Amino acid sequence: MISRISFSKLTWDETKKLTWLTALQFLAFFFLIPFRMLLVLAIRSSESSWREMQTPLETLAGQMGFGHIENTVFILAAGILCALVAFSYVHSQVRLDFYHSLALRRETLFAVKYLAGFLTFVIPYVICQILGLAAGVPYRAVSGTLALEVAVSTLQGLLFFLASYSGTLLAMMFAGKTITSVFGAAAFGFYIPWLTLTEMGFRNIFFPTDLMAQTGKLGGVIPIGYSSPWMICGSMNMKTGGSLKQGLTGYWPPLADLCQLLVLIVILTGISLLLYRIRRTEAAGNALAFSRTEGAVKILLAVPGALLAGLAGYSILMSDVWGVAFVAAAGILICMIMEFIYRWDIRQVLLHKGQMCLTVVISLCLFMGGRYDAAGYNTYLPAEEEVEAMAVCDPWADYSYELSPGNWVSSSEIQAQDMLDYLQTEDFEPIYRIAENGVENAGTGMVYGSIEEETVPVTVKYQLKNGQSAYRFYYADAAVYYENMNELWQKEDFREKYCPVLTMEPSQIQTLTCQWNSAGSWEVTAEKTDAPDTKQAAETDADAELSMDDEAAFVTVSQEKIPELLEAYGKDMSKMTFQELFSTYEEYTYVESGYLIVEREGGYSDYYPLNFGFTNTIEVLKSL
Amino acid sequence: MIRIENVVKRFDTILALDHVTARISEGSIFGLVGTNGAGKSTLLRVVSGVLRPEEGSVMIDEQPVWENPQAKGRICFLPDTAWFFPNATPAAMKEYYKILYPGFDENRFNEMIKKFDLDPKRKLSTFSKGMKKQVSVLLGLCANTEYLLCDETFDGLDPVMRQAVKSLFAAEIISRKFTPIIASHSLREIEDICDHVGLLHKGGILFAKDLDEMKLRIHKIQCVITDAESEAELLKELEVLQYEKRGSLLTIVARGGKEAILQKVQEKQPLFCEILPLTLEEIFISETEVAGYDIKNLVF
Repeated sequence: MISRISFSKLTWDETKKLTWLTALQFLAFFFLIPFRMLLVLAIRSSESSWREMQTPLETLAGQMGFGHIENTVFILAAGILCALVAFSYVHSQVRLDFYHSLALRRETLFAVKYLAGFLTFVIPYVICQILGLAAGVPYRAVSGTLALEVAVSTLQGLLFFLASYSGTLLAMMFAGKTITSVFGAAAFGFYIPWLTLTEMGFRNIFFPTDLMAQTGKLGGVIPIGYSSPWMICGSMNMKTGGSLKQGLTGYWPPLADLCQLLVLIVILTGISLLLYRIRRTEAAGNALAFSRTEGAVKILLAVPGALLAGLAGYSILMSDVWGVAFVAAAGILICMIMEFIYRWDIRQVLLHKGQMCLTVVISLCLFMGGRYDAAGYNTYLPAEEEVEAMAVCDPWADYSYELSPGNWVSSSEIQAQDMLDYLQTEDFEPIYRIAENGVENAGTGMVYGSIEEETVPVTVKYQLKNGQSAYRFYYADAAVYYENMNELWQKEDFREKYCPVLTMEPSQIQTLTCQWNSAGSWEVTAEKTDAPDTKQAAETDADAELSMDDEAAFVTVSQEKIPELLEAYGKDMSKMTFQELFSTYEEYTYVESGYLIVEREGGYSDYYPLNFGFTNTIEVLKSL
Repeated sequence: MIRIENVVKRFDTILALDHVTARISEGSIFGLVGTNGAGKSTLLRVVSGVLRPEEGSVMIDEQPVWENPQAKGRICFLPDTAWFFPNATPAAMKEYYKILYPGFDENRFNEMIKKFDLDPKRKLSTFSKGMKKQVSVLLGLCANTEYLLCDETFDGLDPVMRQAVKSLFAAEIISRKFTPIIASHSLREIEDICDHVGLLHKGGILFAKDLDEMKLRIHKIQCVITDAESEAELLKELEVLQYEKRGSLLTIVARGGKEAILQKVQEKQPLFCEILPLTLEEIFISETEVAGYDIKNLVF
């Protein structure tokens, strides 16, 4: 019976071999945490007004709590460094010969090295966190709850480290050289954002009807904040929130976030272990441990790069020729750089011409396919009989909406798709005509609308009978748009959805205020203008005098009067056209008189239109 | 016993081991010789479980080696280039080996380090190549494993050290269950110490035999036969590995028993006939020439 190697002894011995790394991290965290605490507390204690403005406990909490970007940066950097050092042996043939000849399974060796690298971080980090807390003791700046918060902060720091550690480890297992590992980790960290950037540029430039691109919301299959372990940690770090109450930062990381991060760490570590088990020992010294993936990796990196370059060239020079030239040149150059990284021999940069050609061909196909809308994205218009429902939205839908019971969201926070889902209606014929006009304009290459060209930017949803849905962004001719919106406006359920105030309960409204833009009385002295299509309106305020006592410029409606006012407001809205209410073109509207300001819980305010045409509303206001 | 069955190992397009089959019995000293690039180091790395073969298997006492700590615990592999961790001293490596090889004999190591006149507290990075080899061998011996795989171990050792290490090996074999496998291209070293020899050439094993038995099966004979026709007949009758004629003196290296070869020569009524001893080097050259590796073509 062969005696087994002691796991704990070997792990501890491996950790001792990395004493220099432990010392380096101790030095870094010592200056970052306890030394800084002492410094801050010493400086603040010399300020005479310190204890009046902020307690010592609050001072320490502010420094030791969550969300310190410098701490996070150091922790993530430590994760990268520890992985590179602890697992550097996988890139050395000599060291692999030694380790793989030992009476150890690869999983065991992996665990030993993993733990050793982790211990080099956890020992100095935890010690420094404790010392940081201890620095507050002379200033009576420590409480039990603060200690608990610091403990949770430390735990989060450990998870950040493991996320960075396991992400770098994955790159190391995939690569055969340390330098390639570094490039690989960088690629892993930035590939998704790079891809997202390319995709958004593609959509923005070639797909003017793409909803996400034109509404300025970042798209991509994976949000950038979740695209790599480092991005996830950065996103979690940004969620500082809270306030310095009772000496605490007031922020506790959501348990779900911590659990998700832990799951990610487990997954990355598991994949690394799997790669290590199947990795050939003789791969050490090659650029990639799995040489058959070289071509695929090259193409995956080069194609987005070539596209990005082509988009840049096209958008700057507005020329197809330049766009194609940039794509081809960038594709070839990136392939050559990748080949150099693989071989470290400048004479072999043109080694795999086939892969280079494939890269350029794929990039050009994607570029030209987007440029000339090969898939017909911009001119997509389903047959009317295929449509079950539609939605349309414009920039004036600028209020708060109850997307789900009790869940009010302001328009600035709502995703365009969610807004369209909310406004969906089965009486879609007017919307379909707007969409038809928008598609026609898109087909003529209209990219930018302008007031001079009399277009309106709109977003549209198609809900098809087969269950699929499509979202688009169009520039519709103003005349077509308003004609059809006026028709849609006649439907009460559409009005109520578009202007949620019409169905709000008083309990949902904190304050309801009427504001007039010019001081004046409630008397309407101006003539109502002709119907909008005659395009006649009062041109100056003098034509629509409204006298009012100065103190009546803002009129707050009491809770008891809100239902009456809203009922009157609803009646007024129903008798006016959409164009009269929302068009910004002077020739279409009354002179803007004021707003109905609805403030709901949380301090959010919505400004609804109010003008001389709201006769019922004015009557109610007069009675206040 | 180590059983190597039909092992194939490739490095991309290079076939390093081509269906190698061999048996290494316990208690013998096995010498692995071969031409440059024959696959000696590769074979040792496969046997020690460092490399995984594409085909075939390696069994140690009927247990597969690959990813098997039980089997690998019986082996200590000493590669051509030994690795020591940075700033290590012989004493530090001893401590490390004590963890890696639970049967490590610390006292014996201390004793031998002293005998070899090596400073246990001096950094290994300051040692010469030969001194590092000595430390490596001592660590391997004191690991007390049943099998010790040595890749070019004697290369870099001075003649006195070489003899000392050979004595150590011999003493180990006597004192315990110990089977060293020595890969080398220095045939003189192999001849002195090994019982069995395996000859590798271009990834294939040409033969793996008992050394004495091998010497019994190949002989060099010098003779003078006046009749050209008889001479030609003799060359046809014998299983000739190599022959050379200088003037009237014919030198033949042939496979077969000594008596049988002599008899065939005598039948041709030679003027002169003598059996000469063959060194392992001569056997090696003869066998590899047959395999197409003609050393004469490399000599200018």
